[in-house]
Amino acid sequence: MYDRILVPTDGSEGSAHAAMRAVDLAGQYGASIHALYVVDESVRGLLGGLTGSGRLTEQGRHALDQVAALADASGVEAVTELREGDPADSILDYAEEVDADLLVAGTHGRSGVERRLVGSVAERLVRHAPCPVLTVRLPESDVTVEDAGDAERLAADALADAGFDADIVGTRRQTHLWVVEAESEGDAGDPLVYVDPVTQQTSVVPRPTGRYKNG
Amino acid sequence: MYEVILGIDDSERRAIAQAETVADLPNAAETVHATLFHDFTENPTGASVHQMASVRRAKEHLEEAGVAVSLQESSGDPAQEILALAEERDADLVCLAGRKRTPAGKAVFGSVTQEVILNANRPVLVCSPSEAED
Repeated sequence: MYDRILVPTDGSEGSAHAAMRAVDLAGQYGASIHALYVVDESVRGLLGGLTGSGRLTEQGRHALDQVAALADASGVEAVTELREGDPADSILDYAEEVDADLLVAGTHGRSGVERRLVGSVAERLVRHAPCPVLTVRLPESDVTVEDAGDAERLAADALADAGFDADIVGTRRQTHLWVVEAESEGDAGDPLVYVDPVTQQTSVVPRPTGRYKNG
Repeated sequence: MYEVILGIDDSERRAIAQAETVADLPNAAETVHATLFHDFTENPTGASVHQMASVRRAKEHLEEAGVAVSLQESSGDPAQEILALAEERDADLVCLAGRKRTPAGKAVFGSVTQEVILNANRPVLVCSPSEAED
């Protein structure tokens, strides 16, 4: 069984999708999430003079906060870590340090040179990771959930499947996810539904009433 | 059911590592259906997947864990055949084994694993090379 699930994030839609899977799995296993963002030293060297070196760090913190919020909403414990270095090496080092049981990594369905570059990180993780690696591919298709209405329809189906008798009260678009809030009668609380705008995957998060009101 | 396809080669150790990984999935006994798949590439002697020692070991392991199992075989390009089966079954997960390491410590992983990871429209779980080595 898995106790510690490592999910590297680069702030892209692909990694948001991977994070969602990771949090979902962590919930089922009762595992904790370790989210890692690596400031790529080579990219930093290239962009340093243009954008200032703090920019990528700031982006990384934001990406990590998003994963932490996703985990928190699911009642999953999350640890976040920001490092600088070569992405694959840093991820592998961190996996060893925290003794990760599973590594969940997003892969992009890219072609040509870009695919070689991106594929090489996933490839190196699979080659060298001390634990099983779950690769989650972001499908070629672009965003399919285009507006709040689409997100709410998917969320309503997911809520019904999960056995909630709930009314949707609000929908907002986060950078890479739709978040649909609902209210239900009784003790079931007010669930949140995360909707992946690309894959249409949904994740229903039951929330005890009263918590996260300001969250 | 949560449909998992295990692409199994002729290594018993790797097949067992895959079976253990799949048996560890949440509520595997109640929710997982595993298809054990072997591609013969060329199969002039007409061998059957049922005769493969690696497949049989994985099957035993999964059945002991209470996981429903079926077997499937093909002859052709391994990566393409796995991808085609995954589409056909609308699989939720494809499980592959990492290759063992060479004496130099470098993991030799097949082009098959790489091709499946990059082309599958679904999650791929790759057992760690170290696990497969035990």
